[in-house]
Amino acid sequence: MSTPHSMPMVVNNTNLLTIVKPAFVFLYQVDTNTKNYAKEQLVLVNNQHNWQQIKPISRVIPEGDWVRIEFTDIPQSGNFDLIQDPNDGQPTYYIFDNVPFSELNKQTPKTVTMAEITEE
Amino acid sequence: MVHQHTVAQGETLLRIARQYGYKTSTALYNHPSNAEFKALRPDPNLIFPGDIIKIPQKTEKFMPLKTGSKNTFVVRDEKEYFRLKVAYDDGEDIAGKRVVLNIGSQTIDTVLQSDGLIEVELNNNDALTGSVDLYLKAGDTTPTKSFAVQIGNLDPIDTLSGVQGRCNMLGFNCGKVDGVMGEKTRIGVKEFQYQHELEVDGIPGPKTKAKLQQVFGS
Repeated sequence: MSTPHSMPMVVNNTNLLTIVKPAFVFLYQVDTNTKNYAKEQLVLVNNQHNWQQIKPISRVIPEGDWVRIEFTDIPQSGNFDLIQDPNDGQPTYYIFDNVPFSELNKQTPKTVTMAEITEE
Repeated sequence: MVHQHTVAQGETLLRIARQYGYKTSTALYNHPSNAEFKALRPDPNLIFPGDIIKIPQKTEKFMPLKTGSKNTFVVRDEKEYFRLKVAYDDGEDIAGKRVVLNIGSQTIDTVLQSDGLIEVELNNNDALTGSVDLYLKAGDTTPTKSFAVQIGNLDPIDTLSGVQGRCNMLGFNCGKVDGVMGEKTRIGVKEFQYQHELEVDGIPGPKTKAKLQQVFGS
């Protein structure tokens, strides 16, 4: 066992250290009763509006009614908004807004409930 | 008379052997009195605090020597190594990235090849603690990532701390390596299970442990 932030390693054998590129994984519950749910997309955008990544729901495999969406190669500075876009002419919604990079992975459905989603 | 040694965290078999005057770890590991320990720990590099190792009494050897000619004695010696393989999670080539290792009294400043491997022969009396600094962006003067390392502290896969240690190394954050099944550990294990198409329940059962051992390599 070891102190926090230290890596226990083995002598003689090879220790595989994997470098994870900056990513944000969001578990998202889809309302499959909604007619156009497969059109939905999530948009992660920074506050400077010079970077965004769009993840269509239809491109991920649903696990029940939950989908796991991964945003990658995110700039590690600035604050971010996550927007749900029904992509069918209906209004978009903020799932969260103005969240710093370091806090992104703390944004789970437990901390951001659907009731807190606000219309844009 | 056979003396017993109880393994403490961070000890290696070779260093234990040296404490008792042996030159190699195999002198202890392969001794018949340690058959039970050997069965429990099939990899001599992965021992666990509390393991009992029998220390056989050293016996005098009588060697027939010829007079009037040269007699050669070969003393077997064993070295310890620190081997690290650095890789990106998405498989991107790691070649050309600078790594600085500080292990005990040694500093190794090197550039990774495509295989991401570094090997360091450890000094006999050095501490087995240190740091790994990775410079992943060209021109960086401060490390992109830094890790403190404790060599000889990785626990066997059948322990929860062994699961946590391997998950952390592979990029599935289990938080502190403390052998406690907390929320961070559950999430880290779930992420590993998801990535490797196992049942995602956050419980490190036999299938998860076997996969973890296979992916990590030990």
